[in-house]
Amino acid sequence: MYRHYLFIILLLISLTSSAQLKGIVIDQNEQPLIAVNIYLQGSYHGTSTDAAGEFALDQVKAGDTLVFSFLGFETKKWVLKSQHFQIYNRIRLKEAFNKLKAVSVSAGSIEVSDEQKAVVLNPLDVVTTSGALGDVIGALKTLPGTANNDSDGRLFVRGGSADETAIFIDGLRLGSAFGSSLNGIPTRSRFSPQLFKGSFFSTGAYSAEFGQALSSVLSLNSVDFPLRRQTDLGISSVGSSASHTEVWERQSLTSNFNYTNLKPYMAFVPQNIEFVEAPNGISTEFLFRQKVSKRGLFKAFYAYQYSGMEVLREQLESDQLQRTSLDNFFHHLNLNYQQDLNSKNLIDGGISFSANKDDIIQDSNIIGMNSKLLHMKVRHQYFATERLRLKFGAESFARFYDESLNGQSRDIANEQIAAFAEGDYHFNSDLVLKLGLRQSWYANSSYLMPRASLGYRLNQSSTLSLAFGDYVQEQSPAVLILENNLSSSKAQHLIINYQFNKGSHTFRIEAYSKVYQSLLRNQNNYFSNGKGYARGFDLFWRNRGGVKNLDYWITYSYIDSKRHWRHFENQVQPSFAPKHNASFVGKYWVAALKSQIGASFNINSGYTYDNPNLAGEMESVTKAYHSLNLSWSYLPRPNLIIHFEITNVLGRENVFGYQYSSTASADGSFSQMAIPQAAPRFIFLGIFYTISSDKKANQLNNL
Amino acid sequence: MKTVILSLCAIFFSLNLQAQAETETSKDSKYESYMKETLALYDSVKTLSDYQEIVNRFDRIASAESKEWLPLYYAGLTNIYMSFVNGLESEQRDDYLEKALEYVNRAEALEGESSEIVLLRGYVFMAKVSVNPAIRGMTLSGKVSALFAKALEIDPKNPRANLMVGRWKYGSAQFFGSSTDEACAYMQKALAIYKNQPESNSIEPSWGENQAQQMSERCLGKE
Repeated sequence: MYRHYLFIILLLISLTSSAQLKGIVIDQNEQPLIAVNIYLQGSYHGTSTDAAGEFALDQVKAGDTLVFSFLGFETKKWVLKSQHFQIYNRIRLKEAFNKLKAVSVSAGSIEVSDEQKAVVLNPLDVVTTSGALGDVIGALKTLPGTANNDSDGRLFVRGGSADETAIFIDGLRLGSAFGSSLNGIPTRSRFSPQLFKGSFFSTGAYSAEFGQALSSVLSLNSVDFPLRRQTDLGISSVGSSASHTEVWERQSLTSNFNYTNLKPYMAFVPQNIEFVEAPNGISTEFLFRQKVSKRGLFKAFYAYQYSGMEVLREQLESDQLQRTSLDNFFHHLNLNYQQDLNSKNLIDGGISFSANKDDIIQDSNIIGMNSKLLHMKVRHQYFATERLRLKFGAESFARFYDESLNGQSRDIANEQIAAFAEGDYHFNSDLVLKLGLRQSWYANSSYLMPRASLGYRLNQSSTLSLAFGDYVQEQSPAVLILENNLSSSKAQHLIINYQFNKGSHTFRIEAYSKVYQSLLRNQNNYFSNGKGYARGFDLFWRNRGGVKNLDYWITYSYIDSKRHWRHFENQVQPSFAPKHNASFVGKYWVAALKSQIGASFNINSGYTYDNPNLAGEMESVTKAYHSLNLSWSYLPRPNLIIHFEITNVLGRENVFGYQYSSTASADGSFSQMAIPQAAPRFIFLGIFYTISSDKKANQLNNL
Repeated sequence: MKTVILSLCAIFFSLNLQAQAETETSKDSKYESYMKETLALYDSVKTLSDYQEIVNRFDRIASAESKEWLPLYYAGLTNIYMSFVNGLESEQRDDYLEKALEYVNRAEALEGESSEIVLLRGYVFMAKVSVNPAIRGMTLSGKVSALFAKALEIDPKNPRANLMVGRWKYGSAQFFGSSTDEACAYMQKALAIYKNQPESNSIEPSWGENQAQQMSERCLGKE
């Protein structure tokens, strides 16, 4: 009995009392961690490490589970054993892998998004860059790797022609991405930047997901779900616009209407081209969103645009003025659905259809061109672990094209299908490898395209990345209609990139090499045996907020590009790839004036052209191009913006090349005519007003 | 000797039983008292580590009380406070705010979209904007406005919702150089609600009165 009690007492003592646990918490580099939370699992009882990373904890005993948790580190659970009470414990916590903070590949890509990391440009920049005139493309032209071709307006990337850039909306291809225009009159991209929440612009070596683009990809992501009911009204020197967004519990609908007419404007501002009918147009867009179940979203987007113009122009070999009119009709439908199956699987897919119709009357000739593109795509993303992501997908492109001349017509249709798979794996926070493969089938040929990229973080602020890829793009339907048996053009990209980000500074330097094969040649007949290359480097420097309220960036691009293509006998430098290109962009917010003042200066070393009076091909270069643009946005109230912008303030008479007569005159020389700017400058004045319950909402995005 | 041992045993048993009874019948009061004890620490906060200690305590309570949203709410709020501590790099500030958002999400999973939780979410995004106003202002400010407005709509008498709507409008009025009247009206309303609240020792959210007081004084000073 006596012994019995003693036993119970000892048992009770051992259960209720316990020794003190002591130790230190350190990271992988043996550095103490301060204020680590240490507690008995499932209880209030615990402590935190002190300024030396040390802790002491009593009222715990062998068999208890202790939890160690600290921001940025993996939580550790530790089952106590009796020997732990006799020693000084060293607890090592492992840094948690955080995808958001891990290195990413920056070679070739420029992400335009709100996230802070490694962002070169954000969506607002697109609309507040002087000289961009609210066109996404206008802002991209101040970025490394691009060349200004103001007489065209489209995007030219690293020695590639404009049709080597593909534009996608929510992953689906936008056909006829630019408004139709007549020779020498710059076009614009079709949609306002306000429709998009962010974009991804790649100047080479992009993911296996993208095909049918030899040089560049611009991927625009539309707004998922608008925040609130809102009405926007705008009137400007070139037209007017109205937009309304209605938001319900699970749906939203945005409708935009725009009317453009440059006639009143052209009465005030002189033009270099004589317009019989000033450029004018209407456009309307509808965006519908439907949330489906808990994690699905359906997006529908429809756009219709009409534009027209008529010009009278001098001709080289005739005293008669040439009269040309253009009517362009454009429809685009984009249906997209995305669904989170669970936390690890995401599927999305959709259909886009673009139809573009151009009716041209040139003197007595009636020309019609009609092109349609149907793109279908499905994609599955599998987030296997935090570190490994896999992506699979398949897509098909169907193209239809017909053209007519004075009642005689011909047409062509073709289809291409492709499949892709890609995986990226983070070995650790500082090293990522991405491997992809794309296979496409077109007519009787198939192409296998490997892609690979690697990102390595050298230290906290700098990253080195490498990217490589094979790209294929089929010949344009306007050529295939003449010669159907042409193989696709090919390009191989290799890019090395160094990027430095610290505080308000961003610096990047990128060197690249691109090799072309099977380019189109035209020697009486069409062949696809052309060749070419582009190589060079880009520099980009940006400082945002280093000086309060001031943001500026400087870009320089060197391009060495030659092509043996089209009708040329030799390898020549294409007209759209000036050797030296630079941009300076600055924006300054003046609180006292409630204004943002912006300036940009674009300059390049001139465009090559072929002068038949001289020996050689493309042997001549125009004088240097430059343009100084200024803008002023005045916000008297948060929801009212008055925006003024003027391009080419200095009135530089830029020349984009020369046209020559096809036959020599009596003295054996060919007469020439310069290809000038459509107008010496462009002046824009607009007033934008927003009505919504949120008085701060405005249309900065519209400018 | 036997009696001594017996009585010792009896004492031990009774102590143990007492302790057990206490844990069963007054679990709530233990929760409340520990919450109150932790909330009282706000008064003596000096460093980032002091704040972290508060977060750690709420974290522990949350781990033991898996159905209570308040410990998560306060852990989130404290992380927001930490993001405002002077001398932090913007990346660190973002870390605290990401953590805050995590707590808000967990609290919302338990409590639903209540006025206080929607407001706290708005506060996180407001703090995110303040990390980099030039870049995030345009893209996130709509979200902040919408969240604050929603918090106020759910409970128009929530003084913190009035305060934050006022603070947010005040900031933008200053940026645009426009009148702060509307913002100040919200601040005054918030202050009136705070003043009318009976003195209570509850663990429900009650922060913001000092701020409302200061902002209202600033408003009056301007006039």
